[in-house]
Amino acid sequence: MHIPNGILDPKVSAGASLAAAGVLGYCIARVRQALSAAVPEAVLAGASNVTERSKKLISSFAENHLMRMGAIASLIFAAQMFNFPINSGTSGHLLGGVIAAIALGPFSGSVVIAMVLAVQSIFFADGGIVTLGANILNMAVIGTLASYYIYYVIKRLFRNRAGSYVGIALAAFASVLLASIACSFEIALSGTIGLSQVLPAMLSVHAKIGIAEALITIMAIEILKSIAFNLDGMIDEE
Amino acid sequence: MRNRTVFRVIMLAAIVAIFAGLFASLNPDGLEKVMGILKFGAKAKSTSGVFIDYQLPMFPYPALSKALAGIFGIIVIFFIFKSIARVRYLGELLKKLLNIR
Repeated sequence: MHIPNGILDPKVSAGASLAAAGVLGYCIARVRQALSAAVPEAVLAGASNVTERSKKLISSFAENHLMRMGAIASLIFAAQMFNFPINSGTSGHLLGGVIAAIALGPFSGSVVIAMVLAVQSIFFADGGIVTLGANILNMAVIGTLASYYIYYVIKRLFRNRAGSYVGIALAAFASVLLASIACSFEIALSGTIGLSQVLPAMLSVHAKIGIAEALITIMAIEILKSIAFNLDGMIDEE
Repeated sequence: MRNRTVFRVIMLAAIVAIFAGLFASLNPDGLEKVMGILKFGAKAKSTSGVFIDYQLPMFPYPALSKALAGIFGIIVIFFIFKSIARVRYLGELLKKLLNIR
């Protein structure tokens, strides 16, 4: 769902970029805040000389979290390369926002997806540079941050393992559909084609991709658990 | 312990990239399909990039080319995050040096 250059009007691209930059800035601030809020415990655990020792702990703590973000970003980048057939002549690929948000937290997850989209756009010509802001808004903000809270609410409602799986599946399905709705609105607002034409077409294709996204997301979460990736995270972003 | 897990996730990413090279569908994705059906795909402007369509430039084997381009992407993305961590650490070292002076 990477929008190429030329499809969006410059005003729509600029507006989407501004919105994406604002939310992404907030996400980065929240990750920094969560990292520093988590530090006092780490410092108290083994430091008598707070100044020097705590500095080292803060560095290694932040470094660990950033390396986890890098690893998940790499995995999602690779998974997005894998186009699977959905029906004759059409393929789909993973968005991965819900995987990133569950593995790392919603704010770190958004930053990770935004970074994946930036690398895809700059090195692989997958998604335009001018439309990068719109792609970040659709997939990193709506498809990751907003969709994570669908999982969060369902998980809180059921409070059991089955509820958690239902939450993952619905959030992953919704992430693709919501991103495709946002994409349709951006295309229609740009005057490229009418909303009445683009929205039904986008929804019908992406509903099928969304089902695959739900299945792959559950599978990916199980694989991450099986290789001892701590899904409770190092920091509390909720 | 955590570094071992990070290493496992990156290895998993590399395996997925190799599988993507071998088995990924070459058909257009959802948005590209809609652009084709509703005939506004012609408005799309091609963007320059080193690895267009996840292929190494002038490399004769498409499956291997895609896998290698994917592995390049994995390395770039991981090292961006690793560098951010490093810069933070260097910043603290710099502060320490300035304090000494």
